[in-house]
Amino acid sequence: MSFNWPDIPFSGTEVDAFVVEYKALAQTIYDDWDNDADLIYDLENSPVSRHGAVIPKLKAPFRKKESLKTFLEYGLLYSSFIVKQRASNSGPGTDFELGNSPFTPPLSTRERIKLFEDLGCVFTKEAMECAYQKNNPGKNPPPGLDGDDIFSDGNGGSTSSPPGGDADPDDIDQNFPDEEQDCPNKTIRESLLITLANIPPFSSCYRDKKAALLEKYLTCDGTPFTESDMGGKLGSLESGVQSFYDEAPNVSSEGTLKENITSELTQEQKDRIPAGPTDTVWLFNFYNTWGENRCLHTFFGSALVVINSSGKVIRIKDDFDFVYGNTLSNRDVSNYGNSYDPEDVQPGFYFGPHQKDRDQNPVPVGDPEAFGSTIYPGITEVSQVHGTKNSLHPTEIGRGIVANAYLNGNGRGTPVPINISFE
Amino acid sequence: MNTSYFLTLNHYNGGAAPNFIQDSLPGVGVSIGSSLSVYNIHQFRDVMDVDAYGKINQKTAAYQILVNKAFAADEYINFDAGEYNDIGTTQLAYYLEDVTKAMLLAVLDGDSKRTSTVGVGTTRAKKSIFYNTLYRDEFKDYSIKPWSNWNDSVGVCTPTSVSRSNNVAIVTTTPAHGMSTAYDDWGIVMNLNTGIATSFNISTSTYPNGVPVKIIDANTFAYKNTGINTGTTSVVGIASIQVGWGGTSNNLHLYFT
Repeated sequence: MSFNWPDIPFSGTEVDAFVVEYKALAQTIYDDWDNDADLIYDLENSPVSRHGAVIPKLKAPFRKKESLKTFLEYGLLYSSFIVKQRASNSGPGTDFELGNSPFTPPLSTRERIKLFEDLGCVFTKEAMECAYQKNNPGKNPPPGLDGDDIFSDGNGGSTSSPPGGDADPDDIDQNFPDEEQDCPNKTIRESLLITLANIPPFSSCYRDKKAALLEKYLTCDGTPFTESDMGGKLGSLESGVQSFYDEAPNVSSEGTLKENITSELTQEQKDRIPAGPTDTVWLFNFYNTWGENRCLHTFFGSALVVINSSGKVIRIKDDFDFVYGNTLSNRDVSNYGNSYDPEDVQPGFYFGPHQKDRDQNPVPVGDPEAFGSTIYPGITEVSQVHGTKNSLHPTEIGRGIVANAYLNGNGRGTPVPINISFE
Repeated sequence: MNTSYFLTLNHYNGGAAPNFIQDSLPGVGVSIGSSLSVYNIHQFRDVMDVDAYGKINQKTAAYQILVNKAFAADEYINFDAGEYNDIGTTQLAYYLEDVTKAMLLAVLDGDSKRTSTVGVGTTRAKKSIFYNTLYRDEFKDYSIKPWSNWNDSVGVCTPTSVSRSNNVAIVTTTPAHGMSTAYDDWGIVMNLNTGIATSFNISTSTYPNGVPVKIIDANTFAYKNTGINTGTTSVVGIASIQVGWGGTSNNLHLYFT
């Protein structure tokens, strides 16, 4: 197979000779690959068994013939440019002027945008606001070009602080905080979603409470979410969890819905929950129609539930964290919903090598639910998170916000322990 | 192939943050004003050394083999997205740089530094140099290029005082250091003798061909050196002068208006 060589946009005695020799050597490397086994492999010390692998001499990235061919093709232009520079003769390829780049500047529009974005210049409102707030933690927004402040109050006027803020523009201490914030303020998009989720009818189905959890997560408030945060919806939640316990089967066609794990817990773990001597401890999985019918599937997912000797639900605990955000992985089940050490917070496994189940949900490498043997690299864009495409679906919007806060907000977000008592 | 990979292959260190000393000194780097200048876009990330980058996805080959045994994947890099062995643009740039250096070493004469002359020798010998540049450590042949002569010193100079500010060291020599501003590929291995001066030394196990320098004048040069800010301090010792990749310059900047 012959190489697909790029054009060399300059010439000269030295560079012309170099290009000829480069191409000839590259072609020989490619053509002789199979005959140069002694250069590529340590045949002397390799196993003789046909089941044994030969020992490669080359570093891992250079062991594939076709990969090497691609590198050789792309390496010609720059190496020729170096030789042209060294030759110091006149003509294109010298003098360090725009247009002498061997790599066809200027860039296309698409490439230029990509380069600008790589440099941090992302010209979207969200990205610019995020950059401003990151560089000016705690400060008021800048004035707009027309003299108005950037953040409108939504009534045609303007305010000197972000929506919902009560900043005093004359408060020097506030404008110049003593210490840098690790967790900047919410973006406008995040604030809008949280505000909307508190307005009926959007606030139904515990969306207002999930928004409160999301706000704590996004503002890095890792203090537990408790029964006092449930307000007037505590009774409804208790009824929902109680009826799930009373009515849902332990196992259905949707998998395990409830599991009594009391016998698996040590006394120390029971004390940590806490669960009394006559209480039972259960793991509830709300990711099913039984949970969805009670609006619990995206509130808790799965949760630790304590039942007293009368069969009454007395406590529910969970961690509000995300595989596509920050998470408290490897937590002992008895620690669900308890305060945690900040060092226990880790990026969700979506950001590292992972596999997918039959529904394209991410699962850890080696998980029994993994479908096939493909291992996917960590995600780098929000659009790669499964279930973020529907911009009208509240759950998918929230999912996108969490992933965006992590990917484009310097890893922003802190898991929130949920510890709700019904006693 | 990913668009970002094409961009990487076409533009090398497009991240505009190459890791060498010019970044930290005034007058070179990225500026944003009425227009955007991106310097050093065509430049080796490692302007002094020839050692190839040997990792995939930040993992060693041994780790890759372990994973591949478990999941029956291809051991080698894959230019298409979506698989475990898919690589990032940064690593792709590393690999391309390594192969480019290997070809320059194989094709050019002598130590391949500063020359534009094609070398003489058999095709087999040139292939041996090419592969030798990309070998794992235990298989390197130190009797042939690049390992036989790449790290050779081209001279010495005598530092008489040093200072450090914002992790940039300034060295004054007596007599003049002798490095010509006609070249931009100078490097240095500092070897000072006592006290705080030793914190300015360069480890040849980490930087076998030294670190790049920026020439300030005939008696002064700078190099990137992490450490506490230090006022001008008299020192005793010697500095080995090295040469890396270059000639007049490998660098070129793009300028957008």
